[in-house]
Amino acid sequence: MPEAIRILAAAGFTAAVSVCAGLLLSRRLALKLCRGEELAVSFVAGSALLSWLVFSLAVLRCARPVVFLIAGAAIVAGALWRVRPAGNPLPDYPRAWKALFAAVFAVFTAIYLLHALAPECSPEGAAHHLALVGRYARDHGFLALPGSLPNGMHMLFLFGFVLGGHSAAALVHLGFLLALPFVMLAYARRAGLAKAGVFGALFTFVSPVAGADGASAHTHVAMATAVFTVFLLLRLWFRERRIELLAPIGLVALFAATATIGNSASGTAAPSLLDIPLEATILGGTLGGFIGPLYLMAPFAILALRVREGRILLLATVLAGAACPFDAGVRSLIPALPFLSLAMGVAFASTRVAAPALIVGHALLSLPNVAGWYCDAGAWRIESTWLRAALRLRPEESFLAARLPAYPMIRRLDGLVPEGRAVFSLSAVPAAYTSREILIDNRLSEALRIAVSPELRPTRHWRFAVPSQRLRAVRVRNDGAIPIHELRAFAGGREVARQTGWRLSGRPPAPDVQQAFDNSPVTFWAGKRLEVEFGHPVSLDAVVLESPPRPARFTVEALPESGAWTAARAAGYDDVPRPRGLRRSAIRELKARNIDYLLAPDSEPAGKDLAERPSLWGAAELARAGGFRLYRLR
Amino acid sequence: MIAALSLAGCALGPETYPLPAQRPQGFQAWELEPPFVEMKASNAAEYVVRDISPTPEGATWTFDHPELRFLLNSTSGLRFVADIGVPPVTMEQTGPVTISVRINGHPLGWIRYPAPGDRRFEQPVPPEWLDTTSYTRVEMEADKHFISPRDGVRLGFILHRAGFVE
Repeated sequence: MPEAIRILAAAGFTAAVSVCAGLLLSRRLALKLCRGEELAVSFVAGSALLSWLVFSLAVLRCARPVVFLIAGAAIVAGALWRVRPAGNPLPDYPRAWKALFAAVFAVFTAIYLLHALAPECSPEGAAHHLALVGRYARDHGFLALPGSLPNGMHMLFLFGFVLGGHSAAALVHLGFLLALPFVMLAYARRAGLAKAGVFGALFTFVSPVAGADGASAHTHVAMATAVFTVFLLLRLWFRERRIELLAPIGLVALFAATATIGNSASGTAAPSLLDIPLEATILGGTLGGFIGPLYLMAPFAILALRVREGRILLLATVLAGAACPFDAGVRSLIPALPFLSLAMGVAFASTRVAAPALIVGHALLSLPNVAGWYCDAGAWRIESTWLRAALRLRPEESFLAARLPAYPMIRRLDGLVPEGRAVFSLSAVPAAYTSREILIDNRLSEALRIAVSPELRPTRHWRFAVPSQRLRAVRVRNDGAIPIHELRAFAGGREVARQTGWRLSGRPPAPDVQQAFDNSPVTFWAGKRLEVEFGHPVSLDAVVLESPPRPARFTVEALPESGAWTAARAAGYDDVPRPRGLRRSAIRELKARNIDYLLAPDSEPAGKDLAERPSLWGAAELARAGGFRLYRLR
Repeated sequence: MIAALSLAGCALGPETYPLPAQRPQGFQAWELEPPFVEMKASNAAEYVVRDISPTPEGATWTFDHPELRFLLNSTSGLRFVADIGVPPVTMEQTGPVTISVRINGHPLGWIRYPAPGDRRFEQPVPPEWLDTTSYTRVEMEADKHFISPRDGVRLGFILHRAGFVE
C-alpha cells in the first residue's frame, strides 16, 4: 500500500508540475482561456514544456530525483505565486448531460486508474518505451547527444519514472486520457455543440483501445490529446486572431509530432480490407485492439456535413487518420477518434433518446468484463481492474511473472550478464525490467531464422550470361523484392574477386545493400534495385544471384566499358544444397556487432533449434525460465 | 526557432556504399552440422526426401519407398548407421521383414528382423560412392509392408535415427 501511494504521489507531482507550467505559460501570454478549459489545456501545454525541460536536463545528465523535485517544486511555487482568477466560464449545458458525463467519466476513470497503477505490463510499454526511459534514468540522461529529437513522451515518462518507477510513467500517460474529454468538451461548448461534445468526449474516452493505451506507458493517447488541443487553440486563433495563441500552438504541435517517435507497428497480421471494420471495432485480434462495436455507426457521422463545424471535424478526422496506412495497428486510429466521435455527436446530438442511449450502450460494451464476451482472445484491452496488484497487495514479481512469460528470465539477466554487455533477443521481451540493454533487430533475427528454415535459405542460384567483355557496372531489377543473399560475378567459370573499389547502391537507398556483397549466406538485400559499380572495368561473362527457393523475376543489365546498358541473358537457375555452417554464420553476424549473449524463446524455430543443438551454434546455455533461454555465444 | 533547429537535423544519406567486410567461408569441424538425423528433432523434415513422416512426439513411420538425404562434410572413413524398429503389431501381419539400404543408388546391405524389436544397421560406406558437393541419398526399403485394415495405408518400419558417422 505505501508503494502505491508513492507511485500515485510521483505521478500526481508530475501532472501538477505540467499543469503549473502550463498555467505559467497561459498567464505570461495572457491567453485568456475560459474556466473549464484552462486546466486541461494548461496540462497539455505544460506537459510539452516539461518535456523540453526534462530533455534539457537529460542532455546535461542531470536527470536525478533531487533535480526533478527542485525544478518541479519551483514551477509549482511559481504558478501559485502568480495565481490569477480564472477567465469567463464556458457556455453552460443541460444538467442531465452533465450528470451523464460525470457518471461515465467517474466509472471509467476508476477502471483506468487501477489499471495504470498496477505494475506496467503493456506490450510496448514494458518492451520498448520504459526500457529506453529506464536507461536514461540509470545514466541520469543521455550518454551521447541523440541523433534525432527524442520521443516527447519519453521525457515526461522519465520525470515520473525517476520519482515513482514504471507505474508512475503509465499514470503520467493516463493524465492525457483524463484531460482529453475536457479539451473536447471545451471545444464543443465554445462551438455551441455541448451535447455533441459530451457524446464525442465519452465515446472517445471509453473506447477500449483508447483506454488500454491511455492507461499504459504508451504514447498514442498523448498524441491524440495534443493534436486535439492544437485543434482547439487553432479554432480559437481563427476566431480571435490573437498572436499570443501561436506560441502554445507551436509548442503543443511539436510535442504531438514527437510523441510517437520510434513507435512500432501494433498489428500482428494485416486483415483483408473487408475484415477491417469488424476487426477494428469488435474483434481486435489482428489489429492490436479495437475501438468498440458502436463505432460501426461511424458512417452516420456524414450527417455532420449539414453544419460548418461538422464539416471541419470530418476534415480533421481525415487528416488525423492519415497516419493509419503506415501502421497496421488500430492504435494509429486514436488521434482521429476525437474528431470522428465529435462528428458522430453532431449527427446524433439532436435526438432525444438515441444519443444518450448510444453513449450508455458504448460505455457498457466497453466495460472490461463485457468486452471479453465478444472480442478476440488476443485483442489488446483492459482485461480487469487488477485491484490487488494496483494496491501492491499482490507482489509485483508474481503479478508480472503471470502476465509476462519472459519476465522471470529478464529479472535474472542482471546477475548473469556483465554490466555494459548487450543481450540480443529473438522476440520482444519486457526489457524495462532489466538494466542490461536488450537488442531487437529484425535483420539479425531473420539471420537466425534463415539458419533453420529451408524455405528461407539461399539455395536457388539464378544464372545470367553476359557477352564476355569489360564492364563498368552491373544492375539488377528485382520487381518482387525477393531477398538476394549474394550477387557474384564470374569469368570463365571462376568467381571474380571482389575489390575494395566497388561501389554499391540500391533502391530504396540503404546500407543494407552491402548485405548482398558480404559473403554471408544469412544476410540479404530485398530492395527493388541493386547496382554495383566496379570502379575499374572488370572482365566477366556471368552473374549469379543467390536467393531462397521461390519464384522470382530478376532482370540483370550490364554496362560495358563503352556503350549503353545491355540486358544479360537469363540462363535459368540451379537448386543447390544448403550452404554449410549456417548456424555459425548467423552467430558470426551477432558477434560482428559485439553481441555475446542471446535470449531465445523455445517456441521460435530458431529458439527450438538452439535448445536442441546449442553446440552447433557455438552457444552455451546459461539459464532458462518461463520458456526462454539465455545463451552465451562463442 | 524550434522548427528551424529540427530542420537543421535533416540530411541526405549516401547514395552508394563501399564493399563491406567479407565474412570468412571456412568453418571448423565442430561448426558443421553432422550428417545425422534424430527423427524426433525439430529439423528432421529437411532430411526427408519422401515416404517418411517425422513426428516430434510419436513414432516415425516409413511408407512405401522411404528416402533421406544428407550433406556430407567429408567422404572418407564413413559408416552409415540407422536405428530401426519393427513393432509386433505389423510383424503379426507381415511375418519376418528384411530392410535393404542403398546409398546414391548403390546397394549397401540389409538387415533382417526375424522378430519384432529395435536393431541397429551399421555398414562402412565406400568413399567413391559419396561426394560433398551434392546431397547423398539414402533409400531404405522393407521387403514387406503392413497394410492398415482401417485405411489401407502401407507402413514399413519405424525409423529412430539415421546418418553417417566416422
